[in-house]
Amino acid sequence: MWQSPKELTNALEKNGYILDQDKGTTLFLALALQKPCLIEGPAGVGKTQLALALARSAGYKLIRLQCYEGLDLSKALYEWDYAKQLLRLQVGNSNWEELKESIYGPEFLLARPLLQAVLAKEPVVLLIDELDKSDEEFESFLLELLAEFQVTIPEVGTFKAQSHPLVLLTSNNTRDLSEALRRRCVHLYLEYPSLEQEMKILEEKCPEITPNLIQDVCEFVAKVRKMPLRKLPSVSESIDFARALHQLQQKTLDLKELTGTLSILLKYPSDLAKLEERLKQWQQEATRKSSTA
Amino acid sequence: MNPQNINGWQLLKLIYALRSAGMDITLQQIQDVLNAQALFPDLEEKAILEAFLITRHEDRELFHLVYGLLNSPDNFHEENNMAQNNSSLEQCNQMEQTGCNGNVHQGIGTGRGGITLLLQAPGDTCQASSFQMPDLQALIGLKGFPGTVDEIEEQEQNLEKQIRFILGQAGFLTWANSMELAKARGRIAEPEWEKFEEYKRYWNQQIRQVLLQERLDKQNKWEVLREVNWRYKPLNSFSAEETGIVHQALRKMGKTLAVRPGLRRKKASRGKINVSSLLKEMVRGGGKIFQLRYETPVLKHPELIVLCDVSNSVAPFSQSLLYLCQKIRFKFRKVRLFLFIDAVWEVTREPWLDTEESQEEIRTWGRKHSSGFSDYGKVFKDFALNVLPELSSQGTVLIMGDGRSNFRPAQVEYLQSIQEKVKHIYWLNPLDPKDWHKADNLINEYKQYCTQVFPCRNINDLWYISKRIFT
Repeated sequence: MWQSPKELTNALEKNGYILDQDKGTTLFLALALQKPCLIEGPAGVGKTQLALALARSAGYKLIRLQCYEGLDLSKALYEWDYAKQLLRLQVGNSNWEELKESIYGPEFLLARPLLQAVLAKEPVVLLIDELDKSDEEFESFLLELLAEFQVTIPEVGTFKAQSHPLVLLTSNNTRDLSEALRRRCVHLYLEYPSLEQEMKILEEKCPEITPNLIQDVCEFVAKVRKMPLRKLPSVSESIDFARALHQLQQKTLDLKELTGTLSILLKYPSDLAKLEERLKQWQQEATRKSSTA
Repeated sequence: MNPQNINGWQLLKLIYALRSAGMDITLQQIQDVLNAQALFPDLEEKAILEAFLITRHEDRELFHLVYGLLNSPDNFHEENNMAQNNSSLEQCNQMEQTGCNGNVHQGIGTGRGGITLLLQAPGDTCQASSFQMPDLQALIGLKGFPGTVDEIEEQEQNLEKQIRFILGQAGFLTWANSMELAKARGRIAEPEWEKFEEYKRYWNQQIRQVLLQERLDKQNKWEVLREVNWRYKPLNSFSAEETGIVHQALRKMGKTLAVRPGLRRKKASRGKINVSSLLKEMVRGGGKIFQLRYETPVLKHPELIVLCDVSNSVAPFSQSLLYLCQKIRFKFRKVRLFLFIDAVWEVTREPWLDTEESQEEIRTWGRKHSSGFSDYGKVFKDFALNVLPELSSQGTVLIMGDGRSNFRPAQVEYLQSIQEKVKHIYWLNPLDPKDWHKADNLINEYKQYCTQVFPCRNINDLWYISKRIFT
């Protein structure tokens, strides 16, 4: 598909996702060696977006499994259509052996995301999102799928993937994933983007905003991310913040005129209080700097 | 080792070094590296190694450290190999010209572990960069000033303390203090402070690498690198920047422990259907169900009481335990948290417990409540007289302390009375087990009244203890 990491990062960039060369190499190797890629990193750095952009770049269908506490095989892999099976039993005039064969046929099997990915005739991108939210039992079940790309349904047998899906797993690090799962994946850690990367993202997502304001916003957000906050601002929050300032007709970022807009950037009152405190300090520094100049 | 061309032997050496340093590398991972190398010979080797050998973000630093040590021109494994020495020398000369990692200010010298820290960038007028770090070759004794590495090791066993010692000798700490003071008074702007922090990190890293190289030269075994692996690193030697790693590990640990239910079950009005109870009911009613019976898991430790010594030597360990207990508190019916030095006080309802500020809070609370010198006997007496009557017989007491009581009486009878009242007492000791028998240490006297005493120095120990106690 892609012959080099550069080709992959260019394809992603065309689809609105900017990935640096190191990370691109890791992702490229995972795809080239047909290994699942485990993407970790803080919330809001673009883990899910990477999977979406990859599907768009490759032109593959995206199959997404959103994990949550209590997720079980009936929601992730397959489920028998019990109502339909009962109907079949009621209307059936054949003998029991024939009935038994037919009610466990493909007509009564409801394929969930994992089975859909395995049965797909064309390659797909399988996104297993926020895996850390699922239970350990589910994680153990995934081992067979990730290692062999096959799943077993006791009543029917084993299904092996017809075309190799590109598997991406994401985790927000709220729970430690098992070593067994980690070893089967190529690990990719996404951090908050650098100043230049974030400016590029904002220029792409918000072409209506002036370059000066974009630079100011990105520098401001980078400074905020260095503070010890409960939740650091994500890329999407910095985009919203820039759009909000643009709506307020601001051409550059003025520290004195940020009141009311900071809640777009930070979500916890304690974080907001810290930032407001720090803003006063930055204002003083700016005043001192301008007076000495 | 040429980073562009790792042969099989060099790869095996790297794998051996990483495994000895505490990283788990499987045969499948090695196979993946070799496959990728064969398929993409143009890709940089380090990128391939990083992609397949690192399975968690926290191991990245250790990987770079080991890789850097293997690539250093004075690698201890290559000293006796003439052919490799020649290539190392060429590589070294090249590094001198271009600078390590392409940075002209981070040159690795040709000497044994010598690093010349010329960090003053041209045209850089920042106050932080105005400090000229002395030549480390001279500093760590290779030119006889101020003492040899052996002498430093005699004074300080801990790697982080050795780094601090060297920085102190270089006069860096005095300068750092003045910078901190200037920061507190608002005389330094934030960018300048960040630059200073960056330099501090850089110097720390460089000195650490030199010291580790020296240790490797001397002991000729990679296991010495375990001390810098985040899993085995003592909890009190994590820097302020690294506390994020500890907190993240503890958060994940808490989450993992919290999702494990107990094995025993009790009757309940809702929950899972209790099949055996339901069958009994049906038999009594002639096969008819009158009422569904439910059950819920019984908590293994319904009440958890945590006692943490917050004297200077134990505070960093206590902070980690408190953080973990906060994360798993909803697994228990009741959790009570106490701090002590020579008096005991309760902090269960303090809002700072699971925040980043807990370290500072613990330090200041200690000053408010105590003289600063631990007195275990008095603490157990206060606890037995004032708190014990309120505890249930099913409670589990966790004590985090080094047992060093500054030659004050042990008063074991009070710990005995606590043991008689509660179900378990677990003692977590942050001291190295070989220091448990030192003069003022009372751990041997208290041990007989505890269900178990665990060494608890690092994340790995804490993980082991948590699994033993809470699951």
